[in-house]
Amino acid sequence: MMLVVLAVTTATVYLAEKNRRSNQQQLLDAQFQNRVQSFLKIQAAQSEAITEKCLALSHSVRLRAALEERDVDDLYQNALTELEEMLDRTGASPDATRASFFRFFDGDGLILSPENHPAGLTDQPALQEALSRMAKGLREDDEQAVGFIALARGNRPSALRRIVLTKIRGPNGKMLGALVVGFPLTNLEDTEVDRAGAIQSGIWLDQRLYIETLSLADRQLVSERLRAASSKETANHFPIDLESGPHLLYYKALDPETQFAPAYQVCLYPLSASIRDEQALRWKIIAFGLVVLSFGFAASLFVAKGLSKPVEKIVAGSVENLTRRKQAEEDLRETNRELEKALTELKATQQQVIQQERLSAIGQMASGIAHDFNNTLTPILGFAELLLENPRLLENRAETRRCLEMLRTSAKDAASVVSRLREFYRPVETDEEFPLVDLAKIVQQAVSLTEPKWRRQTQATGLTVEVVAEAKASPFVAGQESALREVLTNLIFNAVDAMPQGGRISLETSVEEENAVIRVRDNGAGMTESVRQRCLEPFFSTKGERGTGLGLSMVYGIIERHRGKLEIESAPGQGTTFIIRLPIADASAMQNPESSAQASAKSSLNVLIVDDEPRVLEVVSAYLRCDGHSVSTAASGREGLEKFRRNQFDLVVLDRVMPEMSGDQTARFIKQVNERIPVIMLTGFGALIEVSGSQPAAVDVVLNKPVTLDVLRKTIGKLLHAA
Amino acid sequence: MRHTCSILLLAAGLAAGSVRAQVAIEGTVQLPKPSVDRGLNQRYSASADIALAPTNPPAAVVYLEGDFRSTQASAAKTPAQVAQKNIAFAPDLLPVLVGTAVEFPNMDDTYHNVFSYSKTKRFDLGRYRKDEKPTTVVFDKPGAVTIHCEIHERMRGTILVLETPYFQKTDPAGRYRLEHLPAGSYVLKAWVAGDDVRQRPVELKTGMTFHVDFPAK
Repeated sequence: MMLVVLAVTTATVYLAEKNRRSNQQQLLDAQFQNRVQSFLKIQAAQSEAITEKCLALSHSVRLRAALEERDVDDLYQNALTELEEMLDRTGASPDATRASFFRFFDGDGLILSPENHPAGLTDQPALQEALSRMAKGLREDDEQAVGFIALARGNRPSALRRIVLTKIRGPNGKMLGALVVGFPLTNLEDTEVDRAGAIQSGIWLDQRLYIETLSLADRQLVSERLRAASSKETANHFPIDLESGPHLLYYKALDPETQFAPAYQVCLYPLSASIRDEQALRWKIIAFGLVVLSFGFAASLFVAKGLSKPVEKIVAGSVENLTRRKQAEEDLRETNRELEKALTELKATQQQVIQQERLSAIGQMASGIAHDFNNTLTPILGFAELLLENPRLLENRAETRRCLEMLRTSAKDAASVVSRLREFYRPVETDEEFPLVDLAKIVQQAVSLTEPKWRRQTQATGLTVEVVAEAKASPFVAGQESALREVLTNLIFNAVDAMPQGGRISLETSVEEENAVIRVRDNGAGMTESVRQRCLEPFFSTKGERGTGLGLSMVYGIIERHRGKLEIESAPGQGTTFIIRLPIADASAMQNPESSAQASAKSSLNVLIVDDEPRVLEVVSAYLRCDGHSVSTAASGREGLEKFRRNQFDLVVLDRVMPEMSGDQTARFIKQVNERIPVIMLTGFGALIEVSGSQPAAVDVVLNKPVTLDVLRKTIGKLLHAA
Repeated sequence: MRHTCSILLLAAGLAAGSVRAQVAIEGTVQLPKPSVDRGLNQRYSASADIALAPTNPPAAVVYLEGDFRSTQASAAKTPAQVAQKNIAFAPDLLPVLVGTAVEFPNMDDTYHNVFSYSKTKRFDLGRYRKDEKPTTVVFDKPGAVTIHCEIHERMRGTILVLETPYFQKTDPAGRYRLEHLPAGSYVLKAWVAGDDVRQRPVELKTGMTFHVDFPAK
């Protein structure tokens, strides 16, 4: 009996150990790579946004004119206005999306000194020298180049800057000069909230290692290995034995094409931490073995007890026997405790793995959101530009109204893209309740929203791109309007990109066997079989640098969420058809949306609005005035409080994040003065408050920015009704 | 280089002399070839900008340099005009006498915003439409003023402010003819582009027409 138990336990432990060993290494590699990759993805997305902005800036007529006249004053003044949002004026903590300085070169590559202008960083010789070297390295054909410089010697990555050089050309294509913007580099640790010291990251630039925490010997060791490795491959990973223990080293060229000193992202993953994990796991397995063994003992004891019962009766009371039994019981309790401990540890490990997964998902999500946000900005910019550029359009009321409605729809979509961030701190709801939406209407909207893009393409190339909606049926489905619109705008954008020679895109809505079907058909370039199979994968793109590889994976995700199906028919040269099937919903169940006018408060109220952002102030006041309320505004909590003390108000609307006195504080003071006055808080963090339940006590309702007229009306109606 | 030109021109000028009641100079300025538009990154140009691409034909201004302060009083009472038409300046090169006022009417259905950062004359008219009349600008210092439109990156023009009433813009072939000139020794200059100013001395005698060509440098 004992032998059988022993044999089974040993075999189990052996197999578990063997399996663990092979899994461990793979898991480690994958985990590390995953984290480094998502980190690099975030970096790439940031860098792309930065270079786009610089390119746009290099086309500014004012900058060009100032550069041509060599008017340094105007040059920096104008650039400062344009770069305002991008420039880090505080200098407190380095933020990779904010430039720490900018400069202009003239046509000969000499730095135009920004006297009396806050262009970041004083003119230190190291900067002058590094930038001059870069200006000389700029190739004739390049419009833009990215490089890295070190401002000081030493090992700190904070001395490094990512430099984006953008040429500014005159009317004949002659180089007038260049715009140089410097950004600090992100550090991997900054984005990780994991165990202390998990991954060390730094930069290998110009044969020099910038990692802060390494010892001298380790630094030399890493440098040597990198020197040898980077001359062969632009990215690789290998194990390395350092003083502080064994590590896994990963490096990747940041811009392999660069003509400047090459820079590599370097990440070190301490294997010692994973060895600790491994040992813990081994103990767990052994403990488990012990438990099985003890159960075996207990079982055999039980059997033995049964067999020896008659005998036992005779020797009942035998002291020796009693001690033995007590000993066995004690053992059993001990192993039980161990088992419980192992279980808690296992749970903690599991939690950690989940957290890690989430972090890498955040990376993908961040670039995804940036991508979608840009898509929704396209029509906003397009229609706004259209209205500004064509004063005649403004005289046509119907057309103006149409443009304004498009602007509103896109802005709402943009808001819903941002609200998707919430999914990270909200537990996933398995049963999402969708309202009913008219599919044909959404198709029509998507066609109008994408109009600026395909019209522009038509104008730019002279080749016609035609987009038509054909509604064979007008089915209702349960869905999120903005998400479905996003699906269609994504597909239309892709189709337009696939038709450089012009062509026709049709969106056909129909009903087939209980399903609402949309066919998005283009007669563009089509896809090969292998592209067709991979096109839904995240980060797979055929658009080269212009694509993020996220559009179609988003499309797929949204359709899955709507319990729908996505089919793709395509062949090279034959065009592509995307077929979306969504379950039809019963339209008769659709409720009439509550009329917003009814919900609004009937009487005219005296409202105080407190917000430090003048545009928000303006919009909210306009909303309320439009409903016949009288409005007082205050730009700070202090000013608001003063007004509140002096006048009689029926309602206070305030912002949460304000300098000097926060919205929470202001609300508290207001309630101290008169606790019966309802307070509405507008905040960009509304969703967060809603979830974490940290709504300030002094606030009656928290509303999310951007707030719409409808929501504001309903809230006010409800609040005053309750009062 | 300049000396060689002058010698050539002097010879040509003397040979062409003919008897007339007044002094005149005529000739040809060799103009640069029309510049090829590089087609700047279209992604960033406003949509209305794309359809057009009228590259203005090159032209030059030929003027007689000297001390004409006594004759200046009679100059330019009515304001000159640089209109914006089809997303371009019309004309894109305008010679004026110092002290001349210039109007900048908008003939397009879009906004324009004309400005200049030139040291000779800085101004910024702000955005205006067809029916809005921007302020008139008086050019009170001599020199070349490059003008831009803040909205349309390809719009570009030059106002050449001169201290002499004797100037003329050449036709697209580079031909010019200056008449009613005073006799005396002067320098005849041809302004082709900001850094390309050609010149040669002339000795003007009553009743003669001179022929002066300005070949490319």
